[in-house]
Amino acid sequence: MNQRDSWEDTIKDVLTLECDGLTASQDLKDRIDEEILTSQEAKSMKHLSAKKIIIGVAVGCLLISGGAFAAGHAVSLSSHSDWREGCNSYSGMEEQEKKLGYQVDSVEQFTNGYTFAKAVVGESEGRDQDRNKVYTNKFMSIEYARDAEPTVSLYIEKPAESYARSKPAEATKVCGDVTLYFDSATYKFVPPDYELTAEDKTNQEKGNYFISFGSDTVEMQKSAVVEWTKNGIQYQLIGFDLNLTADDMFDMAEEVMGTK
Amino acid sequence: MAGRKPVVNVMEIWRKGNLTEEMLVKQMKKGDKASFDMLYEKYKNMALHTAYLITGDYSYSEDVVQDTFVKVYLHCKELKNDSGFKAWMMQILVRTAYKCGRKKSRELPDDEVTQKMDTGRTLSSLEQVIMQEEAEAITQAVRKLPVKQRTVVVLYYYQEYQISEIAQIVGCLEGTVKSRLHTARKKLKSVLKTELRTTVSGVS
Repeated sequence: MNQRDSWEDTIKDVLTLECDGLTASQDLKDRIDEEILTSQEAKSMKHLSAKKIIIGVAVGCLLISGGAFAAGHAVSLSSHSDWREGCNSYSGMEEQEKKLGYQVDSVEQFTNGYTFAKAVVGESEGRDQDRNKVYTNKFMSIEYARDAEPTVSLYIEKPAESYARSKPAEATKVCGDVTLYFDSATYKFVPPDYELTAEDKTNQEKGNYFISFGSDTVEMQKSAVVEWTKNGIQYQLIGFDLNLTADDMFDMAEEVMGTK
Repeated sequence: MAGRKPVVNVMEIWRKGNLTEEMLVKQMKKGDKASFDMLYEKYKNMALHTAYLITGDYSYSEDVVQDTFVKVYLHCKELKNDSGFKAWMMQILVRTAYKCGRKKSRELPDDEVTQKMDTGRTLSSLEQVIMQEEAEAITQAVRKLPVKQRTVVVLYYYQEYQISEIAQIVGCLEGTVKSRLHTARKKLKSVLKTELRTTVSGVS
């Protein structure tokens, strides 16, 4: 194989000539740097707050249980918000609604004791499989607290893309012309360098739990979400390890809608 | 201020020639972007040429190089052997080029090849005409090879890799590389014989 015929000797020269003058442009390097930066930002968001990302991702298209999927072009979704731009009292909601661009349903306090803690308007971003941005969308996040219990978040947005449920919800409740959907799922939060065990892989395949990279320690948590759409606005009441049943959360959703 | 690590100017050390590629890879794996930039500078044109010869299109070859180096930076921690950076990078590049080829499935039009080959050249003698026709015939014959055979030809003849290295890069057995190279050579030889016979009879 190392012995070459005479005609083969010219191949390198010809191929070299073919590439003559081809140099990597500065534009190419700029694109590489930009893509790296974008990927790192998305990655650091996951690492900083895997739970919030999951909640954030729930905004608009991906229900936490995997019960719904985007029917549009976006295959990945990231979101960001700055709590310094938010408000810590319910009186600041009007200002947040102005930022969002429309009025939303919300309450200052639920009858079960969960009380408004803070609210912020952020932006979610959908990208297609080639990482092109296909949309940006504003959303509002309101956090409710009750003593030292896990917080409940209410995420609100007008979905940029349509979505469809891939499986029936665990529970539903019809309130007038609005249907409430309840779903739950178990998440295993793991550090970024965590290596999946055979058991993890099996459980993932069986849908027993989802793996989410980015936490400091390994911990299992159960999510719960009630989702509904009213006047074209999507609401998601969501939390982890809540001491609330599906009916409790349906009640809270109805309080938000003002039907209870 | 006590306990703060001294700032290491990697670029300066590299310029002085005290930094090996292996050290750059180690630094990059720690997240040092400057080390990545230097590795990119070193291999960017080699990568672009290889991608161009495999894909046959400049814009697609830029896409391949872009994807390759983004993957290199984001996945560098997966590289087990720091001294094997080049082969690892080439592995990524070749796979990315294959993927790009499958996705876009296109070939450079013949007239575009001819246009490129004509650039800056004059046909002042019969010998030059024959040489140019021969070069053109080789270029087009290489382009017409199936992508896996073309890749082996590019790596073997242009990059001058050993068979064992090519096997590592394309992820197959040495025997498979030899087989692809053998088939490609046979095809190229056959095409060239025909082309050159036509050329010589055409100009004489």
